[in-house]
Amino acid sequence: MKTKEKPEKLSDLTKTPSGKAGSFKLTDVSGWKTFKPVLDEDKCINCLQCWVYCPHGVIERTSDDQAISIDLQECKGCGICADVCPTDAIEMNKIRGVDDE
Amino acid sequence: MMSKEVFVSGNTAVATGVSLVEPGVIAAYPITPQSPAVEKISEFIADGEMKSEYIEVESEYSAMSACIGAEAVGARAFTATSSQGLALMHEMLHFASGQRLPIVMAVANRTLAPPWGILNDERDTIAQRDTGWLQFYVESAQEALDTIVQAYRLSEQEDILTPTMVCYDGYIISHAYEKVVVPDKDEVQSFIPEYEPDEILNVEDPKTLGYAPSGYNTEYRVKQQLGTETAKGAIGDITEDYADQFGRDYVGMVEEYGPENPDVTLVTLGSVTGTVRDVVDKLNDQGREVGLVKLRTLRPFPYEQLADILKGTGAVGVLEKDISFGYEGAVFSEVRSALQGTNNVPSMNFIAGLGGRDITMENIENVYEKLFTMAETGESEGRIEFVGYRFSDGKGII
Ligand code: SF4
Ligand code: SF4
Repeated sequence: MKTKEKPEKLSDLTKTPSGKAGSFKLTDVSGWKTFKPVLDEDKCINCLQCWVYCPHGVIERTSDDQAISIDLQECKGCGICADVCPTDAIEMNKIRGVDDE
Repeated sequence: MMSKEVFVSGNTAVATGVSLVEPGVIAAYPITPQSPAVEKISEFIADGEMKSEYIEVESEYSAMSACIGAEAVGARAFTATSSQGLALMHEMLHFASGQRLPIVMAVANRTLAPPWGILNDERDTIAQRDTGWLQFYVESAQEALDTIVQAYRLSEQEDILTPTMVCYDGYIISHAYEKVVVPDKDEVQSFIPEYEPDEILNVEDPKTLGYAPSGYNTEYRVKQQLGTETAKGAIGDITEDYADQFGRDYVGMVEEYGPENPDVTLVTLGSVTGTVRDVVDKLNDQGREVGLVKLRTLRPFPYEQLADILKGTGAVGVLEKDISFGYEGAVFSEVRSALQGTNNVPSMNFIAGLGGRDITMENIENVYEKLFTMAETGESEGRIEFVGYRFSDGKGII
């Protein structure tokens, strides 16, 4: 796991285990998933069900024409978005290697 | 206002100590024998004597969680519990200490079921020894009150930031009435510096608590250990300052009682210390040189002082109200590890007072007799004795 900050001595660490809000983002978690969601824009009806249900909040609303985009860096690959999508616009594809993330 | 003398129960003394500190938030769930302490606190708040926020919660798990939330936004917090309630808090105890939140909690020690019981032993708090909390075991209602005040100053010290449990024996202290000196509130307030933590939740500067960049778990644990080690020196300083300001001296982490260089020494903790003092006086009056060591803190553990105190004595006994099944009393293991490398003094563990079993002066005299025999022969009379074991089948000594 990679971190973006490099403390070198005890006094470089915070007094208590805490960080700036959003510090979970400092950890690269893109490699945690086995399957990744792939969106078929033609099938998507912009209903936002996936946006509501994604437990990690990594589906973003974009424009009116294309309602969503998925942040694959933070996505955990749980497949809930694919499951709730009424038009099967999201397919979970197995990741084949590091470069495929 | 000046200090005043009152005749109150240990629970009221605890509540009074808390009212002098007046933490921002109290969150507690009632459990025997702690209940009268938190009832008294809610009474103080209802009567306007204390300006704290009292959060009613549905369990001890929630009580500790609410205290954690309160401290996470920079408020002082207090809770109290006993036995099963403390066991239910277990997970959150780690969150409090790991996050370095200086919560103070009073625990009225009570046995853990089964067999079901509401009376005293210290298995409940000793089972929480490794949660990262500092632990004091007090001898009287007065010491409970005074230790609560001291605990806030100790826990909140910037290089300590560790929560503290003040353990007072259920019924023996919690429900017994004693004369207690209540210090002046302004003086107590001047004894505890303002609590101004900087790593807290604040909308102006949003933070994530409980999180450390991955890969530095060990380093944060080192910080935690250093904090608890720092507490050792601080306890000495704080008890000394307290003695100067309020006239009651609890010496620090350990107190010696009896003659210098006693022939045999008994180490103990909590309320039974008072009974042992009487036995020490009685035996010394008869010309038998016996000593007592009162262990006031189990965490931090004062191993250097213990080694120093015990190295010259002829035999060491440890009298405690708990047992770690499969081995021995936890305090005995720790005292023996402190003695490692100092000498070969014979030692023996006396497990007493389980589930509220009385510990009489006669029991303690018998313990000292055994220690004298050990000092003469240089050998232990067994490893563990269950004091007051009721049957004559010889199984009370292991
Ligand atoms: S797979 Fe799970 S985490 Fe990823 S976008 Fe879909 S719902 Fe969110
Ligand atoms: S649930 Fe399916 S159809 Fe609805 S917005 Fe998400 S991808 Fe599009």
